[in-house]
Amino acid sequence: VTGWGEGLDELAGATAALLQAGPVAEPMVDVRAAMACRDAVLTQVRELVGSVSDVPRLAVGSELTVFDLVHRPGQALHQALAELPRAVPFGTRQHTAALDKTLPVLEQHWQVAARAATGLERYITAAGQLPDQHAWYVLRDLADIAAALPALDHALSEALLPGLPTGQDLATPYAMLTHPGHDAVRLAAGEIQARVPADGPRPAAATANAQVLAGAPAVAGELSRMMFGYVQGVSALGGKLSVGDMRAVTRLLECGGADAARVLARTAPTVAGAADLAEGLRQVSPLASQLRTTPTRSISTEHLRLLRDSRELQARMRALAVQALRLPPDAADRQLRRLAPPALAFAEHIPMLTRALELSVRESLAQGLLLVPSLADHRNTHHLMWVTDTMRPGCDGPPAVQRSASELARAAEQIGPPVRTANHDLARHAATGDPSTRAAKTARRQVGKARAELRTALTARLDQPPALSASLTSHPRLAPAPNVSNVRY
Amino acid sequence: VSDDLPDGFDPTIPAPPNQWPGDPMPTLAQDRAVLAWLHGSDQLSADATGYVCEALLEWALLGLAWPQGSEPPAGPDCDHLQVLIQITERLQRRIMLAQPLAAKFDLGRVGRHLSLAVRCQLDPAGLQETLDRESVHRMPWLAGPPPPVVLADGGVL
Repeated sequence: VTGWGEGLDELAGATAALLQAGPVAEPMVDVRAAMACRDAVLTQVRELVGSVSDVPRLAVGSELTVFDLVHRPGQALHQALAELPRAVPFGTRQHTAALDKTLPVLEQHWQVAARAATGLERYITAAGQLPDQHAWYVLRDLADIAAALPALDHALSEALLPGLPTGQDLATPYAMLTHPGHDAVRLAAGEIQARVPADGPRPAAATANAQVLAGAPAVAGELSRMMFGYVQGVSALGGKLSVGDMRAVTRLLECGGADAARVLARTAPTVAGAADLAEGLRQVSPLASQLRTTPTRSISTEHLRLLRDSRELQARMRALAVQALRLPPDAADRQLRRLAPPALAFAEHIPMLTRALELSVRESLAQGLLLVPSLADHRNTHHLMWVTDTMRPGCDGPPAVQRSASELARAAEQIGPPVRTANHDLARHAATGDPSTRAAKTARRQVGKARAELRTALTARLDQPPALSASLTSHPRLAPAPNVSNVRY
Repeated sequence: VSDDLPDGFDPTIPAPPNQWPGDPMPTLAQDRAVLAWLHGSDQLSADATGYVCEALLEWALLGLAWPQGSEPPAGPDCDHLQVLIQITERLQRRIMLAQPLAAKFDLGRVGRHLSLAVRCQLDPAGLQETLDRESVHRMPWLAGPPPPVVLADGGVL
C-alpha cells in the first residue's frame, strides 16, 4: 500500500525527529497549535491500533490488567492510549493541513506529524482487514510510534512551563501532558516491541520495560554489591584499560560522587560523619575531572560492560539525589536517615575504585598500551606524537596521567574514616530502633529483592532472539476475551 | 536589492558553492567514529560526554560495535561542541532516510542522547531540572512517600 507506507513513513520520521530533539530550551511560538497536533497524532495512532486489534470504536474502557498486557497486547495498547487525555479540549483548537514554514523546525515537525496522521484516516477500515502475515507487523510499527509519545508529551510539557506562573490556563494542559497513563503506554508498547520483530534483521533493542526500571534507586545492599562488582571489573582490566574505560570511571567518580555528596550533605544533621564525608567527596570530584581530561590515547578497545555499568550507577546516584532534593525542608530525621545507606554504600567503595584505577593505569603504561603525548605542552598539536611512557623524551617523573591517578587515589583514601563513622552511627540507630522500624526495614529489603528478581527476568527476556513470540495468536484480533478476575495493573 | 544584481537574486540564500551540502555528507560510520573520539573530549563536560557514551551504548545494543575513535576533519583543536552539534543535526536527515520504520526510532533514541549532550554543555542546570522533572514523573516515589490514606474504620495506611 504505497499511500499507507508513505504516510506512515512521514509520521514516523516526524515523531522520531521530535524524539531526537528532546525537551528544547526555547519556548514555542504557538504551543497550543503543537498541542492540537499532538492530539491528532495520539487519536489517529489509537484508532489505527484499535482497528488492527479489532477493538470496537465505541467500546467502554475498562481497567488495564496484566492479563491484557500479556495476552491482548494490541487491545492493551489501545486501552493505554485511550487513557491518555487530550491536551486541548476537543473542538477548541484544530491543526491546519498547510505547513507554516515561518515556525521553528520543531513545530513544523509537529505539523508534519499531524498532517501525516490525518492522512492515515482513510486506512482505518483497511487496517481492520489485514491478513495474518501482516497484522502483527503493522501493529509493531504503530507501537514504535506510540512508544515515543510519552517522551514527546514530556517535551511539550516543558515548553508549557515558562508560561505557567503567569498564564494559569496552561495548568490544565500541563497536567494532561504529565498524566500518569504514560507508564501504561510504555509497558504496552514495550510488550509488542519485545515480542514482534521489526522488519529486517535487527537484534533485540532495549525496550521501554527496561527503561522504566533503569534509574530506580537501589537499596543499599544491592548498590553495594553493584559497586563491589564494578570495582572488581576495573581491577580485572589491568593493562587492558582503554581511554574510554578511564573516562567512564572518572565520570562516575565526578558526577556520582557529586550526587552522593549532595545526599550526604542533606542527611548531615542526623548522621554523624556525613558532613565530613560529603566534604571528602567534593574534593575527589575535581581530581577525577582532572584525570578525565588528561591527554592520553590507548591501543586497547573499550569494555562495553564497564561503560554500561558506569552509566547505570550514575543514574542511580542521580535518582537518589533527586529524592534528597525533593524532600521538604522540615523532613523528619527518620526520612533523612533513610537516604544515607545507599550513598554510604556508594562512597565506601570509592577508595578501592580509585586504587584499582590507578593500578590499571600503571599497568597499561608499563605494557605500552596507554600512550602519552611526546611533548610536555600537549596543546601544541602540530608535531604531537603519541608514544609509550618509555619513549617519552626527557623523562622527569611519571607521566601526567599517572600523577593524576595517584593524586586521585590519595584524596579518596581520606573518605575512609568518615564512612566508618557514618556506618557506625547508622548501625547504632538501627539497633535502638523500635520493632515497627525494624519491620519496615525488613519489608524494604524484601521489596528490593523482588525488584532485583524482576530486573533479572526482564534482562533475560531482552536476550531472547527477536522472533514472533509463540504465545501470540496468529492475528491481534484473535486475542482471548479479557479476564476480569486477574490482578489489576 | 540593488539594480546591478541579477533577477531573482535572493540575498538570504548563499551562493551554490557555499550551500549545504556542498560537500558530501559524512557517512554514519564516520560520524560514529568522531563521536567515539568526542567521548574522550577534554572540552566537553563529564555530563555531556556521558550522554555521548549513552548514544554509543544505544548503538551497541542495536548490534553495532563500539567504533574506533577518529578525529574530525577540522582537526583535534576545533570546537568540539560545534562538531557535536553538526553530527546531531545530520542525524535529523538520517532519520528521514532511514528504513525500516523502527530504524527511524532507533536513530531518534540515539539522537535524543546527543541532543541532551549538546544542551547539557550549553545549559547544564536547566537540563538537569528538566530531567529531574521527567524522573519524578516516571518514578513518582522519588518525590517522597504518598500522603497517608485514611481507611473507613479510621485506620491510617
